[in-house]
Amino acid sequence: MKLRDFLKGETVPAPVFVAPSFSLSMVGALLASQDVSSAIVMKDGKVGGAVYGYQVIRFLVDASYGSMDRRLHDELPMDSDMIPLAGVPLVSEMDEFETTLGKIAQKRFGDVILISIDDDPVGVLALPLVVRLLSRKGKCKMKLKEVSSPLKLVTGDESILEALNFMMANRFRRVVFKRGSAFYSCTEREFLRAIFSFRGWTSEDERRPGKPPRPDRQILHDG
Amino acid sequence: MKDDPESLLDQTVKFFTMDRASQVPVLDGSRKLEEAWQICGDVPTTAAIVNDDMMATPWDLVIKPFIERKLEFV
Repeated sequence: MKLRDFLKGETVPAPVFVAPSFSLSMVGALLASQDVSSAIVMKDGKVGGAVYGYQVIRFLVDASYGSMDRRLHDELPMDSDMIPLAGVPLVSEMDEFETTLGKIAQKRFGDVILISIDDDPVGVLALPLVVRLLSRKGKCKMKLKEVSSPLKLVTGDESILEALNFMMANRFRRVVFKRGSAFYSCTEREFLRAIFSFRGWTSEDERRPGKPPRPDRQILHDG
Repeated sequence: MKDDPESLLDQTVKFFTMDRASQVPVLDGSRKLEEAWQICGDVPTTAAIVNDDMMATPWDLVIKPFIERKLEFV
């Protein structure tokens, strides 16, 4: 099946573009505001690579790159071991869908960049959209337990720094914890959105010593 | 941006994510993968807890059956 046919009737999120001179705070704000997990790096008018959300988080928590303030505002070290730009998977809508999945499997990362016949980036295809489309366009006789992975929970009492390091060490894109008998998860994308949002670094006033948490937060804490 | 952005990373996961974490559906592992696509595709997490001790992520739901060559299309 052609990728074009697989995606027929669906809207693929538009790509977010960044320049190699962008800082972590700029890239993070773009990823958060557009709610995507990768941004395309343009060099000399062409696709030079991509910055993925996990790379942004890895840089964010790596104190070896200097103070947090410096990490936020200096240029991201693109095209380095931290953020290698080479090998970004590009697919055309005229490619076979199996080719797309093959590139995702080979790259071991769930985002591919869609390009037009003129090689211009036109969208980012991520696995959650593929799951939704497979429910209408896919067939498989396997059982859920045949594809599942061991569940590793966090308690929820870890610091954000510990949780992000846990994700990086295990190549997880989410943390899962229990509240009562229910399971909850927070993905890398949600962490990015939270950190680089108005209620992230700009909401310190809510956490001033002596100021009680908002009532809704107290209720959730107790749950 | 405040003077001490590093302090944000000291908050607990539960506190920081309370408005953002999504409940993950719990599914029986004997369910067909096709059913799991339907259920997971309809929830924000696009994932499921399986039998209380396993998890199915988008990678598990798509790439694993593809690698096993058991994915077909209609």
